[in-house]
Amino acid sequence: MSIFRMTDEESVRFRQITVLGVRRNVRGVAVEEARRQLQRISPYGSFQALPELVPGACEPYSVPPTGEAALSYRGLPYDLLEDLLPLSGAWKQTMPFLMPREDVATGRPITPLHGGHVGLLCTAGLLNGVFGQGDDRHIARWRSVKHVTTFVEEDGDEQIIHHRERWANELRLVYADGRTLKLTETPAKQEGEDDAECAPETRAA
Amino acid sequence: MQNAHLRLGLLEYRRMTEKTSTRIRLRVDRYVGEDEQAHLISVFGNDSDVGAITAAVHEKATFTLTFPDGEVKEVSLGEHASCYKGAVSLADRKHPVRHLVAVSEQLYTNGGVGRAILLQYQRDQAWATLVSFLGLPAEPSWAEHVLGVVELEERIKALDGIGCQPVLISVTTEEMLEWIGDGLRSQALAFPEKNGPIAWPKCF
Repeated sequence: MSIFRMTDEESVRFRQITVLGVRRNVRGVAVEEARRQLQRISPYGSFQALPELVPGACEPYSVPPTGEAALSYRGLPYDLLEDLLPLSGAWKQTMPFLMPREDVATGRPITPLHGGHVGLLCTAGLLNGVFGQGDDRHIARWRSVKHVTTFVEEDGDEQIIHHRERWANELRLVYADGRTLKLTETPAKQEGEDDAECAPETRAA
Repeated sequence: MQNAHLRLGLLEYRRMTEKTSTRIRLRVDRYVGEDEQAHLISVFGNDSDVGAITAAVHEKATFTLTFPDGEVKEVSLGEHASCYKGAVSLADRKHPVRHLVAVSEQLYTNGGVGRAILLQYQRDQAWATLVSFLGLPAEPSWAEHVLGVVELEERIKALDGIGCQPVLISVTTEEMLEWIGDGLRSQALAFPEKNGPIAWPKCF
């Protein structure tokens, strides 16, 4: 360990020194020797007794070679996240708006279906498929459609716009000979009514 | 896959008030948009940033979106947007990464009013999706013919996308039924030989 006094005016004013040494783990006698050396320079007058810090005051220290520098990335792992995000709950909730719905039920019921069962299954879209014989062979597809009826009510000088929503079941058929048919429980649209299909069956439930 | 950073976009939200200035940047893994109208934005990040973007979506804020190729656009989800949140847990992290998917009102009613937005256009998947959204009585093997007509009619428009190649198909149920009927009459389409349910291929 080498100790030097600094010669700059400000350094002299505050009795600043420089301690140069090689850091290593020391124990026992070496620790005591280092402590004694520091205590020797602690008295007030000992500052001037120290050698000046000038170029060449001590032997140059050659920096030992180190291993290759390892760069580490501490941000989000994009590659991993790109693979995991499609499994997140947010995507599962969004999928019905972008992907087709699996709406065909197959299997044999435990008990024979009565008319009410069939009606419920039809309107739920679970009995879509090919039906009929001969000229009446057709493909049937049920779905639920939201209709919005808009009408304006006059209240003095003010106009109150009402939007009335209702859900209806709709059956579309296409026959083998090319005929198509749309069956609904609601009457055909009247002139002046502002009806619109607003949501596909995925949001019907 | 590797090099995901080359495929991700960047969503930036700035808000200036008298006393504070907020600037939030999140990575975008999926985006669907039509000019300035965003239809779907999927972003991920920490809890507070994702929360701030959620609030901004509900406030109908405008975002600056940077595409992977460097193109920059100002986009907004508009009124009545919906937000869906999720979380992805990583093994070496204390807190999960938050995930937000924001959906425009138009995408929420996808398939209605003669507009269907698809994440990508592959005939089999596109046909299954259209049949489901429009409620068409149809068969999987009809995809080639009917979508051929849709392409001829130039009803398919490419949309802006990140992480997907979205398209907008402008077609109504009545038009599709008409084309199906024409196909059956001209025998370009074959009617199924057996009665029963129709099996559709799984799309995901």
